[in-house]
Amino acid sequence: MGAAAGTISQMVERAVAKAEKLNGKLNAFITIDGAGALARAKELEGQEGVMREHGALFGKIIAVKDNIAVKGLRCTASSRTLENYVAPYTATVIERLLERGAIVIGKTNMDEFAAGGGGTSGHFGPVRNPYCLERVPGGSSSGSAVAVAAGIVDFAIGTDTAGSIRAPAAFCGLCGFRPTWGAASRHGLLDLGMSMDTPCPIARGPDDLIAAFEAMRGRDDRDQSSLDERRTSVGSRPVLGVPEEFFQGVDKEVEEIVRKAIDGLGMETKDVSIPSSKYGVPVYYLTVFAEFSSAMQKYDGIRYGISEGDIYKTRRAAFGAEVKRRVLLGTYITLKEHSSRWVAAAARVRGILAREVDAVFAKGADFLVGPTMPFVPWIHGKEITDPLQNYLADVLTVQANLCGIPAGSVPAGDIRGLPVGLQVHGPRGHDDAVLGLMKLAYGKVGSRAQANLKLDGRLLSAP
Amino acid sequence: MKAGEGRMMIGLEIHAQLLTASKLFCFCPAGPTQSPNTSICPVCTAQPGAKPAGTNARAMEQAVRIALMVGCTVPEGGRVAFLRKHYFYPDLPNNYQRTSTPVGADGLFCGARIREVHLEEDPGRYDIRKDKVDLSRCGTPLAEIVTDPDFSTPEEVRLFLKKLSTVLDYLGATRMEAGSTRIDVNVSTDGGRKVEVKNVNSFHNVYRAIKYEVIRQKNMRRRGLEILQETCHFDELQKITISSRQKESADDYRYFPDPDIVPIELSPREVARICADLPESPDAKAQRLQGAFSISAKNARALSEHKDLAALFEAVRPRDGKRAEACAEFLLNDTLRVFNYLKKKGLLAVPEKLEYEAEFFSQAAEAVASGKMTGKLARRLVQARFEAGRTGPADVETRQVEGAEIERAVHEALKGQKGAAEDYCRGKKAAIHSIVGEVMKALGYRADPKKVITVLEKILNSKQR
Repeated sequence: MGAAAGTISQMVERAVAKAEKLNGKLNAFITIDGAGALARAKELEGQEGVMREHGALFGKIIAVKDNIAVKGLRCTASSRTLENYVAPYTATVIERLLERGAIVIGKTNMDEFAAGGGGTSGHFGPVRNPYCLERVPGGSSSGSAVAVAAGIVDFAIGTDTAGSIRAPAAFCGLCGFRPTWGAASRHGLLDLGMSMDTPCPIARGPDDLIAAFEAMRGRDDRDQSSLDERRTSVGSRPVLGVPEEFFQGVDKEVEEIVRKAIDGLGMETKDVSIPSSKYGVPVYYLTVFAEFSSAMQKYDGIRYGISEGDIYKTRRAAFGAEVKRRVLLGTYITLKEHSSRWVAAAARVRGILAREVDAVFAKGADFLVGPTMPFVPWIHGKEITDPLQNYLADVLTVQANLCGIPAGSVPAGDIRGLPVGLQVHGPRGHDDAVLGLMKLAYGKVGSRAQANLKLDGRLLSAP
Repeated sequence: MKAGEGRMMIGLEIHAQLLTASKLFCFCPAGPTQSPNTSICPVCTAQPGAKPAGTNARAMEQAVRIALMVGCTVPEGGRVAFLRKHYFYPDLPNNYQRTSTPVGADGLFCGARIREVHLEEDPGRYDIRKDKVDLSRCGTPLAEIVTDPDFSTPEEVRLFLKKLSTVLDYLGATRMEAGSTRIDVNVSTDGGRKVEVKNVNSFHNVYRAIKYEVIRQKNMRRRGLEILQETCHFDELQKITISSRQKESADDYRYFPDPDIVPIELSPREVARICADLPESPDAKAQRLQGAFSISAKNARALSEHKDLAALFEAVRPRDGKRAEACAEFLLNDTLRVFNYLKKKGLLAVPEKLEYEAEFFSQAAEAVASGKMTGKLARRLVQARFEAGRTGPADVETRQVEGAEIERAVHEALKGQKGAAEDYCRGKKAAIHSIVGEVMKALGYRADPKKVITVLEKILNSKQR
């Protein structure tokens, strides 16, 4: 990509060829829409005069996570349930990207219904980390991250409910941004935890990230919870809050790299504490189980998706283990006799956590910084088999989702070739400020860290 | 008599489709459709990823209006949130129904306590015999009015529903098509378990269902059988209730707040505005009409039960008591008959501005009262004015027919009614009516039937001699 690219059609052809060539190794795409993308490229070439001026994303080649609806393309959420489901409409955020001249070349692989953090639980098989094929790329927006990291697309769109854009950004050495809940429309995003889901851009650098978010953001009449909110009250000399809790249980090498990256920003820092963040993981999972079990009710095999006769057989056959676990637990905790004990309690603690975070922002910290993931990408097949342990991988990222605040991950360095991410949190509505800080961090630390990363040699020799 | 014996407790849950242009959570048009699955979109068919587009503000307003008219108060703080009620059914594409917290509670209407009024989405239609689903209805806004079990006879329920339907008509807040209002009825007799009759599709059938259920429960007791807590449905054709399932435990719908819907805050100002715009209640209207126009209490009440007729009456503004009474009679007899007929055919079109109708009704009422016009002709004229699609009154001849023209018509009619004429002559006096009918029809009902009879008798009697 870049300047030497030639015509839009040529760029698209090259991207599609690369996606197809690498997919055997990376498994980043569920659907590659070569014909559709080329037709779109030709259409854009016809409108070149107009679009060059108005299309901020003119000719940008993008990939979309397979839990976001794009009309006419399969939308499987990496589940057997929706194996053959073709979306009859396009998600608002994708519509907005297309309006500004972007070209979708395919739909990317992910954890089934985004319920996972490794990119390994999907019906279409595990996604591979392009820096080390034996390792996971992070999830659940795994394919989106990998498509960017492998240089197939300019940027990609994913979703983030507990860190699903930040985790793969950290594991793939990219910039990933999760906006304030409501800052970008969720119409067209398949549900996981509706009160935490957000559509997100992921790119190599902050410029594409900012351009993509600028297109995606804003009120949408088809999603009542979407807002036009732009807050810009961050001072000229912002202070970085460093919560002690963000380093608890974090791998020592990861901590070292992230602390060095924070120092490298050259900004004033302040030690802060968010005591309730230790409840983040249980509160998150209770909330997501409840919301997810409700959202999954619709997959009964009647209107779309696979059907195995009756509803019970259909659901038994259609869902993977993690999805079933979440649906069953969610159904259990929302029963009348349990609801006040689990769901209501989770909502209460979520409120307390949000107030603690607000207080930290009110008392002089403009941002919170720390590591994105507590460790480096793990090896495929060696994932933690205890689901409870597995859920702890989200410990540093869930807080932003529970509080609805903007957050992002920027490359901070690497441990023996495996990427480490620096995470940034900002107050609700301060999306531009968070992106601003990410841009600064990318300039001072991230771009160099990224440049040091080497793609797995086997990708270069791919047949 | 044993404790509780003979006591009946009946409670109602009335689901009325609200009159709005679009559905509750999407932009699809609401209301009946020509063919199945035409008024649908990704939202109301629950396509993966589709989000509710926000609560239809008009639906919310209509529900609040209903709540206020049945004496409810808007909850403190005015906060209305939506909950998800989970159950699996083919007509419910999300497999949960979105239902609001009360928009009004603690009302009192026609002797019954109103527990609450809330807003919810209608599911689609599932034809169990054909195993087919029509999702066009899905997402139509409904107001649910829940009463306490305060009724102790089917007659009380009937009166309540009659008054409620008048109020709903005044509000113009609900759909009037058949099947757009559905009622769940809870009946317990003699202190027994609660039986729920679901989905009764008209106010009239509620009365029948209760009557039947009371007899059924009585018979069961007489045979020494226990009344179980159960749910049944009312079979319209057989006019009986049929058990659907027995309840061993309370249903668990796993209610929880819908994360996709931002709760609505009804401000005191908003509520005050809605309150100020509410129509006069039927009772208040009856009293006012009686006082202002010196008509009988009976007619005043009857007029108040028909919003359109009361409006026409007020548009006429009869000058004195005698005229007023005549006008009321004309409206309540002839006009009402036409309105009911047209309503049944779905052809009633009452214009918004009634001033243009005042002159006609004033004259027609007087003409009918004084025998200058037949009721039948007057009804035809009313029909011509209010039938949807008709161009107006011009295509009905109104000139009154007299003297020679009547005679000619009588002679003409007699040619085809020889049998009837002979019968009459043989002393079967009632036979004359069929001939009068023929004559009236031929004259377009523009003659005074008394005059026709006089002429006819004269001719027939002269023949006899």
